Amino acid sequence: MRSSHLLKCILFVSLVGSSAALAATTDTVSLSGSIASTLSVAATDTAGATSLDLSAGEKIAQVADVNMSTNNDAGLTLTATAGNLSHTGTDIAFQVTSVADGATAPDNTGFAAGTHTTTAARGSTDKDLYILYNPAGTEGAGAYTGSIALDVTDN
Amino acid sequence: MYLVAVLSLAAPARVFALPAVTATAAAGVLNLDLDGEGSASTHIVKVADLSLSDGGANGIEVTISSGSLTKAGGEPVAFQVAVVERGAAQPSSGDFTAVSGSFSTGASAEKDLYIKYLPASLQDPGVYAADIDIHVSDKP
Repeated sequence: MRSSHLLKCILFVSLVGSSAALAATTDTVSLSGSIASTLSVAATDTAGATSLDLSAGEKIAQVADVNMSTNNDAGLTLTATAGNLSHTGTDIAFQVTSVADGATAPDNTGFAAGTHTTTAARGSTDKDLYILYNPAGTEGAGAYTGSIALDVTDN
Repeated sequence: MYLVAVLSLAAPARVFALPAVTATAAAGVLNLDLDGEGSASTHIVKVADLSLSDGGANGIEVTISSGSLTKAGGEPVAFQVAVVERGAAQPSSGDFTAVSGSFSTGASAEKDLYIKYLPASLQDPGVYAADIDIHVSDKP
């Protein structure tokens, strides 16, 4: 009997107390937007790229100015593939490397026989692309041609 | 019988005011122009219609959070908020508050909610998202 009376008192206090509380509520607006990758690479052939010296002996020549850019926070990786200057079944192999725009031409130790890779930070970066080749001097006469594939990927 | 008597005393003691807010998102709010692809500029964009109602005798207090549009691994794009009367001219840059917007109004109001943000000219690609909370409460 005594405990029942106590319960009723607590209920009364609870009701009166809540009448003084201030009400509140919340709603939410969701926002979003997308940013596209700006990854790009462009190469401008040098004047000498189509008139390479194919006389006997090791040669190092700049063949392109390369511009690459990205908005990726982690930057990008440029890949350039080595290859051959070819004419009617005769090949003159070349290797590839790149240096900073306007830097001194590389010596013959920095070239890659297979794939040359280099990285660049977010933003726009200019590079000079060089090849190393070594004609024997006994190749047949004619025009020798080749190409270098440049590929960029976001890191 | 004792319980019935208590309820009859308590119920008429106060009429509850229940504030309400409805935020109706504006078109384009899920496709914000975030620049970041080589150039950037300040954007002021309407993001919602706000309907505020049922305030108590002293009106209601409205608090709107500011924040940032974020993505994993990317620099956040901070935004600020401002409100104007429904259909009023777009607020100017100086009307935006740094942390959160807070204002009082009467029993009901219709407002337009704007955000201001300035992305970096180069932003990590991907989807950036954020929530704005609009909190209303009775003024004491």
